Amino acid sequence: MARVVVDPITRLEGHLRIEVEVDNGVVTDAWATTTLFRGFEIFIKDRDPRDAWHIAHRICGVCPTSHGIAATMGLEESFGVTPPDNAVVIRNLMEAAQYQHSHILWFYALNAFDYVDVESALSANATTPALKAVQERLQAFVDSGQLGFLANGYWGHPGMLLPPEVNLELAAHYLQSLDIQAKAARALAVFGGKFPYHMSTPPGGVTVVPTIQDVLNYEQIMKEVNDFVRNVMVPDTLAAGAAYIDLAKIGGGVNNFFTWGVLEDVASRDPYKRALPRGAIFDGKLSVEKVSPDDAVEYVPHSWYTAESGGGKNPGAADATTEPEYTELNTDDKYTWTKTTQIKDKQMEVGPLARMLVAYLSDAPGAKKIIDDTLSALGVPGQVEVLLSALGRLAARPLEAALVADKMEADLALLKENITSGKGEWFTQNEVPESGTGVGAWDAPRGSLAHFNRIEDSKIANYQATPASNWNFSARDDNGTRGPVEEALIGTPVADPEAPLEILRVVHTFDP
Amino acid sequence: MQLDISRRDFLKLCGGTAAMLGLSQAWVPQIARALEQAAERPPVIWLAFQGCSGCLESLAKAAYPDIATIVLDVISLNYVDVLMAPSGKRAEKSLEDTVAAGGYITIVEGAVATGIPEAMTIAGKTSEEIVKEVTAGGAATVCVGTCSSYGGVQAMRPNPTGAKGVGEVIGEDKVINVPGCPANPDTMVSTIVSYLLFGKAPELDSRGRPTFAFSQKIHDHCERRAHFDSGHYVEEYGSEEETKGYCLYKMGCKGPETHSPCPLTLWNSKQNWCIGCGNGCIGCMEPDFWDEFAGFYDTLPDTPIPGFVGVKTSADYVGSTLVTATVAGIGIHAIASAAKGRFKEADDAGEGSDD
Amino acid sequence: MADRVLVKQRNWVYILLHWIIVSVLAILAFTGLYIHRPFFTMGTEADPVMVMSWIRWTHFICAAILIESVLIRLELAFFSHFDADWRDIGPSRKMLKALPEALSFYLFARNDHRYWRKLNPVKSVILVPLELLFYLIAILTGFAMFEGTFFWRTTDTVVLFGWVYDLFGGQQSTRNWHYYLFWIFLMIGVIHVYLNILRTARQRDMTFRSMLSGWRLVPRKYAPIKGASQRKKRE
Repeated sequence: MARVVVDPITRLEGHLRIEVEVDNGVVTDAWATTTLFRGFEIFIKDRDPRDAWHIAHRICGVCPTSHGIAATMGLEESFGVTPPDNAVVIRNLMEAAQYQHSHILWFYALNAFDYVDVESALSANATTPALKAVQERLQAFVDSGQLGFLANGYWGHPGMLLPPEVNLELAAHYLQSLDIQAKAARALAVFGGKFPYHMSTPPGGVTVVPTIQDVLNYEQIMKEVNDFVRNVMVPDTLAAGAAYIDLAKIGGGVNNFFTWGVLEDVASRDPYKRALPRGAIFDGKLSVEKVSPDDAVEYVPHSWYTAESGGGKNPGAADATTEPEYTELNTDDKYTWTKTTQIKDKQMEVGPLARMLVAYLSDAPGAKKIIDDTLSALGVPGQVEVLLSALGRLAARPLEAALVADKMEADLALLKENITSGKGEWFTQNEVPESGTGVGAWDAPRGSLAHFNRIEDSKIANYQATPASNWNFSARDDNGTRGPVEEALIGTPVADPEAPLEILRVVHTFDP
Repeated sequence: MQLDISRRDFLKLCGGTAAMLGLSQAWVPQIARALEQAAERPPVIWLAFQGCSGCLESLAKAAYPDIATIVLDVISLNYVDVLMAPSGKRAEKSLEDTVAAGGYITIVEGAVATGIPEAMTIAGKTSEEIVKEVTAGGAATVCVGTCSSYGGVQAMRPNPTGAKGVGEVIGEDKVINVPGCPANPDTMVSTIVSYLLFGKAPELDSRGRPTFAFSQKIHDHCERRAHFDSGHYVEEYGSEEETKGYCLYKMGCKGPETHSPCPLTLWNSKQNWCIGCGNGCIGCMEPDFWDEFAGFYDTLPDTPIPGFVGVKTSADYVGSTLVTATVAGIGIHAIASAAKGRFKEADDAGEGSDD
Repeated sequence: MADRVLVKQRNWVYILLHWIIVSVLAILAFTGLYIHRPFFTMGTEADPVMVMSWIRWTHFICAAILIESVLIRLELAFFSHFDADWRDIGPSRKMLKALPEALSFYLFARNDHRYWRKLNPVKSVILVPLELLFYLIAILTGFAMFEGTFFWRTTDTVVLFGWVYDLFGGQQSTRNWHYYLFWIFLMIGVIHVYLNILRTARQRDMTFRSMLSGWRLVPRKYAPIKGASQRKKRE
């Protein structure tokens, strides 16, 4: 029995500490500690509701677009205003660009070093001039003696299974991906002004009035990105997935999934008809149930907040609060800044795997085919259960990116048609109401997020957000049921407690 | 230093940097030499505190040079939690080794939590401990983003975690601030190159910002400035005026108050910028802009008085109320005076004296 | 009514300055209001009239004239050969002593007051110093927001006027204060005119006419002895 602490977990947005108990080389217990608190719920109070989306936007710098759009959707509900079709399409296109950006960034920049041994790539037999050039560039970098951000990596770890040639190819794609993710962000900026933190979606619609040239510009940039997703990232996933097929045995988690749904169906605006539809899966049963933001409840038995901040309240409740009260880091008592956030008193996992499972089971367009194809390629045809694992989470992102690319193309066609046919509604004029409540339930690439707002006296009277980390890094509940990440770590082998690569792999599959 | 990027790309980088720094293109060879002749890539520590990783994301969107060039060829980014390969103890070892070797540049992203120090910890140390420890031995400290420069979003009233900018913690004279939410990649790169080129901090304004980038306002170079001057304004989003690119001043644009090179650098490979997408500037490069510029959709300076009256109370309202009250008071006084016969001729001259 | 004589209380310089300041303040108020919220436009997009440009230009020019005028007026107050009236401005001991009486008159606590030669104590102790303070604030905040060339160099406002921003709680707040001053000057203007109406109506001493002529009816016992200044000079 030994406690292993990994602090900081790197290659993520934010700050995370993982503590595990290792028994005979296997994790038997785990605690996930988020070590950052900023207090958005507190300082957003009493402000102009029109400003709130800019503030709530700043919760995350890697998935800002999702937070911005969710905040705006919530405010639109309070304002009682419906954005025009074109605005919804533009938001979809920005969200889609952010998905591609985020998934590419995650798969390569944040995740790849858990599987790709850069040192081994140096000894590969480079088959093409392009790969040769990459190899030489890496060699020169290593020869300089300054390894920079690659120093002290887990090179040569026994868990690294890829042959040198695959390592080199993935290292080359790593460098390429850095360029591609910037391109996806650039496409987003066509409609959003800039990324991170686009500016064009205040409550009511979009401020941007794109011309057909803008749309073609976006399309052209995203074509390159989508080609990369389809022709590089998906094949890379299959190659890595086949080599690391044992990941199917670890990282299972709580087996309760849900998603609020993302990428709006423009005609119906029905969250159950989104490109990645809303739905929940309980206890690993392969059937979808309906789910509503009203079902979300928060507890704080192990979090550094006052008792009133939890208590099974829905974040949309009038008396929902988030008041910090730091005591000390004690895994038996309070140990994290994340609340325990649950639906039907169950710990819920969110993210691409949840979305893909719900899409698969609700038969969303394209989802069934792409998952079935992938399962066949991995040699486990028809066995969806295999996906309830670290492997499933690893594979879900690239596959989702392929689905998002399809949806993006459909939205682009619609937008082009609307612009050329002169349908020029971009913004619904609106005013801040005296009072109102609303919730924006949407999905960031890393998982579901909901922004609850309550307006009184034309000011923000209460604002609570449940971002993706609230679900995946949910602390234990009163009964000691672990949160999704904590549960997923159970059973993970740890070959070398000084280099806990396996722990990183499991944690990184959640895109923390 | 061994450069593996193509010569052409490299000179592009130097040219862009020269332009940003306000140097003539004659400086390009000198910049190139300064970067090439360095015996080794300058070590850099990137600390992330109370923030959102948005500034690193922003740097990762840099075009000339791109992020791969920056981390592989220009600097030696020894510690950066979002990108670095190792975690946990090994990551901390990278940090300790770099600090021990000295001569590094510290880049800080995110605010320092001082009110609740435990609201921001890495490896069991609070942000205040880390920033003091790391910056003490460094060659220079660059604060990227409004959070590390001035406290940023979490330092908004009532600042629940006591978030502060790095300058407030270690001394304003010890930092170079590159604010922005997020910081602009071109400005970040130019600031660092300027430091490498001249071996000292560039000229700073009283807010600690390099004057080469922050001496002029958004308004001065805005592409919509001509419409401001000619009195053509957008009155509603999504309107015909917006398609004509009219000025966003009446929609609450804070460009006239914001010191920033945005109209020149633009964002995301010069693709676009905030005003380009039809939403006014919110002033993200100014200290305390969250509080000070609140009322992002209210016309300058018709914004609420912080902490004094309600959100909807504007300068117009307060001012007209005051004047109405004055006029009403005078009216009452005049009626009373008339009642007392004071508008009739009286002789106040004889009584008392003036000496 | 006591025996009164016509006395020249202001010469043309004072009168001119007064009207320059009045008109410049009016133009500043109008242009400032337009800069605050542009309420009309001229010309077409193809053939634009640079309304905002001209308005701002006018605002800056008037600001310069105002600053000059206030400085000249202050200079006159101290060094004028005609009438250095600095004693009338500000809380001198004499004026402070007379203030309670004046206030109680205006608050209807008493119904008469002694004769005031030029400014009454309310104006002298309260209004004029406040006015000067507001001029100072307007000028400082104005300069802080102004960006252009003066003193033969391009201003870097943050370098030159960073302290003003700090003093007024930031740039936005500085701008707000500058705008509040428009309302404050309006208030002061209204009070100023009202007090003059009251005085003219009560004393019938040609106060209104004196705004152009400079001559006013003054009780004989307060009138300067004819030729006093000349006599002083001769001595």
